[in-house]
Amino acid sequence: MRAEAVRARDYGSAGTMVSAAAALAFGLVIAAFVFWEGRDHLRFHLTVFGARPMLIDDLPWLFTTAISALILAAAGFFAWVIRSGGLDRPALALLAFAMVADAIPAVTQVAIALVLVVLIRRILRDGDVYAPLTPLTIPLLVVIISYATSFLVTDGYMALVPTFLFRLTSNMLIVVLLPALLRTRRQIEIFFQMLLACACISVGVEWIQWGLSAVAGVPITFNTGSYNKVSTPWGVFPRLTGLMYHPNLQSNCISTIAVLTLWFGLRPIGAISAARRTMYLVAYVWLALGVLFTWSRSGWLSLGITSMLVPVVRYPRFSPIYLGILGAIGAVAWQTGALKATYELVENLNKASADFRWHIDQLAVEAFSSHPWIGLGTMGILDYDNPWKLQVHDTYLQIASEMGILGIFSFALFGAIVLARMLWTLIHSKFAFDRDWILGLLMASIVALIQNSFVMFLWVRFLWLMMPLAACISLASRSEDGEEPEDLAFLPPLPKSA
Amino acid sequence: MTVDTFGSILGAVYRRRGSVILVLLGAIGGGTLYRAKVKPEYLSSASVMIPNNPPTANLSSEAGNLPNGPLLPDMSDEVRTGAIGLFNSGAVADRMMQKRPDLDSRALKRNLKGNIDRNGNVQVLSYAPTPEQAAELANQYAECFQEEMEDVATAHMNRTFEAMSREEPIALAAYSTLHRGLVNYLGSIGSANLDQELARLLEDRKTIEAQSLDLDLARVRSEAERPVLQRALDERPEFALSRTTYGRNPAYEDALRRTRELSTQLALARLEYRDDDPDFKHPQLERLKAELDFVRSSALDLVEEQMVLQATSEAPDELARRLAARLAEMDIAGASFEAQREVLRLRSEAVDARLAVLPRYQSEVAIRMVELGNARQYWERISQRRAELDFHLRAGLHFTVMSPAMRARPEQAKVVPSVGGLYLFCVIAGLAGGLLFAVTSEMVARMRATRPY
Repeated sequence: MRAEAVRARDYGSAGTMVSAAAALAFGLVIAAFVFWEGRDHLRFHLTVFGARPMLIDDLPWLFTTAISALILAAAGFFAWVIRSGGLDRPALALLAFAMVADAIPAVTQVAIALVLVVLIRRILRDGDVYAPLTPLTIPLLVVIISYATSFLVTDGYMALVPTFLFRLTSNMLIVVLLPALLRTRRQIEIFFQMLLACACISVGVEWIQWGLSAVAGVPITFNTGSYNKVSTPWGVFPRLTGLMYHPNLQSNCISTIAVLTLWFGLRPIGAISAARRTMYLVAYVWLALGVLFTWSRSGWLSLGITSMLVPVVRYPRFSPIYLGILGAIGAVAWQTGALKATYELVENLNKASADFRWHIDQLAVEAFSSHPWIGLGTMGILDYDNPWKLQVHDTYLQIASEMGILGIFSFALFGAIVLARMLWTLIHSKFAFDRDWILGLLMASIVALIQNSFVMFLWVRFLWLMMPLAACISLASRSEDGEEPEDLAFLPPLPKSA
Repeated sequence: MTVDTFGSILGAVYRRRGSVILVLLGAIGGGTLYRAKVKPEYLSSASVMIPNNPPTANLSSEAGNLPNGPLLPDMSDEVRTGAIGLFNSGAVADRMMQKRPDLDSRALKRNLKGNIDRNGNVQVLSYAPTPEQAAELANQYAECFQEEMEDVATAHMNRTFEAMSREEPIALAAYSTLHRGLVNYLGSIGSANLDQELARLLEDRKTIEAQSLDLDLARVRSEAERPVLQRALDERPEFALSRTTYGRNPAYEDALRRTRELSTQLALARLEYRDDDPDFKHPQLERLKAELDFVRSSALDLVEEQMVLQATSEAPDELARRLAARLAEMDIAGASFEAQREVLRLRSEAVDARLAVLPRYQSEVAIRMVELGNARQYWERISQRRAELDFHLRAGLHFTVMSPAMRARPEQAKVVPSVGGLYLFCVIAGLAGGLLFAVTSEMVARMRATRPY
């Protein structure tokens, strides 16, 4: 049923006059901006960008074009708000986008603000909103306490405050927020579709980066460090980052989503339509290519191992044949030397970046031995006799060295609670959807488990998304009759007539 | 709010087309208004080419540039942006103000900008109310920039030249001092060529050692030979048979003579008497035969003694004499062993003493030679570098190029913003803004309609 058209006349004559005047004034403001940019664009460009900025050298009306694009994006966003009947879907999509778009500033904060706007509107409408807290709140509190102990062991504690507040409001808040938003299977499925779409967009951005790098002759990514390119036997390639700051971050989130996509794409026949299966499998290939061109070896390893495991878990009856084929391929590769050559090739890619890690890991072990209870504090490893001034590239050692036994306990508790609830759901839920999701998340978590041995992802937002997502499945599985509760605070079901 | 279709959203925007049109009209009208009311501005540009590989100079030190090195500031890409820094530093503007005191300095700084064009040339952008002014300012500013660049380079070169000119006589004096010092030192140590002297001393030492060895060997041989010689001498007689004369044994000679005589007589007798009769033997013949046989046998008996000692003579034993002489020589030589040894020892000591101090002399000389070499090289390089700088300063430095084609011309000045671009982007931005306005209005209206609080 189409909503009734709300006409401007509803504003009344005064409102219409004000609206018309506002439109004219807006047009005048636009004209002023266009005029002065057209007149002064070179002055401004030379002051801000310097003499010869890449790709945008002397482009007229650059800001007008960019702002017009932003305006159209905003208009598109508002159109989506209208079409979806509320701010819920766009806010959730923005939140999903924020999980794969570290490089876009403030998008997480805007998404969380929009979500809070939705919740506040619901509270104002209904007087209250049901937002359950999960048992994850307890380890979360312990993590916060453990993090806070950093203020006891570091000298420059004022420098820790902004980071702490940032992580509190973006990473840790999601642990509490997400289960309040996603309480039904439908909502979780919608959220995953959004995550998948955003991941595909991020991989699309990777290809744009590749094209721009090819044109400009230098790597153009969101990473400007010395590790934004890799030397290979076939030349120097940019390490694509998509919408993230670092290729390893990109490979982590894209790999995780790719594994979930593959898992869902390999659902048994009948459980999924052919079109959706095709869409999932094509999306998996798209995402896998995206991971490939991040040139992240830890990402390759995680995605490769997990992708090979998915069919084994999905179709255990055929796994002997599948494993046999894999084994045969592996044997041929071994015998022909292709396996060894591939290993050496991969090992030599940015070899120096691998060499120093072992030294810093050793430092982390020493740091834990000398400060076992609360560790060195967040970022404390940088000043712990660390000539490279780099963080420890191992999340587990990062927890141990920076947060000590307290930190290990808090994250172990996190993992234990998540795992226990997932296993309970897996065993007790009678809905295939729940079991499917639990197994998919378990497969996807292997990516994080492997990759975290080589990187420091403790405070990466995407990692903090996976844990509450698992809690959401457990929450949703409580609905034994499959019906949605009436008191959904977020993303209510569509009207039956629609 | 209820869910709607995309088509209805477009419908909603269509319903609010008035807002879209108003925003668009406001944008276009505003653009026209601004264009009419705001004084037009013209943009002109002049280019200055700085060659990619001109002579460059190390501004911090000349050490790496001796004797032939770059002259001017590095003009790589990184320093083209340094040229922009020079541009923006105000130095060029100050020069411009000196030439054009009628200009306002703040306006100058705002209206004249440095850029790098697509060909890598430094581009002077000039904004002015008229094309002629814009072109004139651009060209003048570009010329000021060229002059400033050349002044900066020349100033550096002049400072360097002055420094070189002051340094050259100092370097020469230092070299001369070191040279004199070396000569005096060589004189003090009494050697012009230590390497040759070393070789000679080593040769002498070897010779002395060989001679000492020979001397020892001779002494040992002498001592070994002496008893043998003495013994041999003692065994020798004082006189030895020096001559022995042998002649024919007279008896043998006599026997031979008699044999010959008897043979002759027998032959004569056989002529006279017959010897072939077996029954009759003439007694004469028989007697002759018997006598001949007897004499022959006597001769045969004396064959062994056909030579007999006739006379002997004695002289002093030559060997004994030689042995004695040899022993005398040994005695003489033995007497000189010690003297020779002493001479050799003294000579050896002298050689060793000289050899002992030679390494110190050599290292001292080597140090002095290195210092001298360095000083010479330094002086030569300073001298050559100064000559090179002098040449180039007199020849003048004109390393930037602004050909007539690179100068700004009034007919090429563009009005900013361009009319077409202004209206095009006003329309684009106006449409986008109008769309946003309409969609936002629709969204707010629906929110008001469904949530009346």
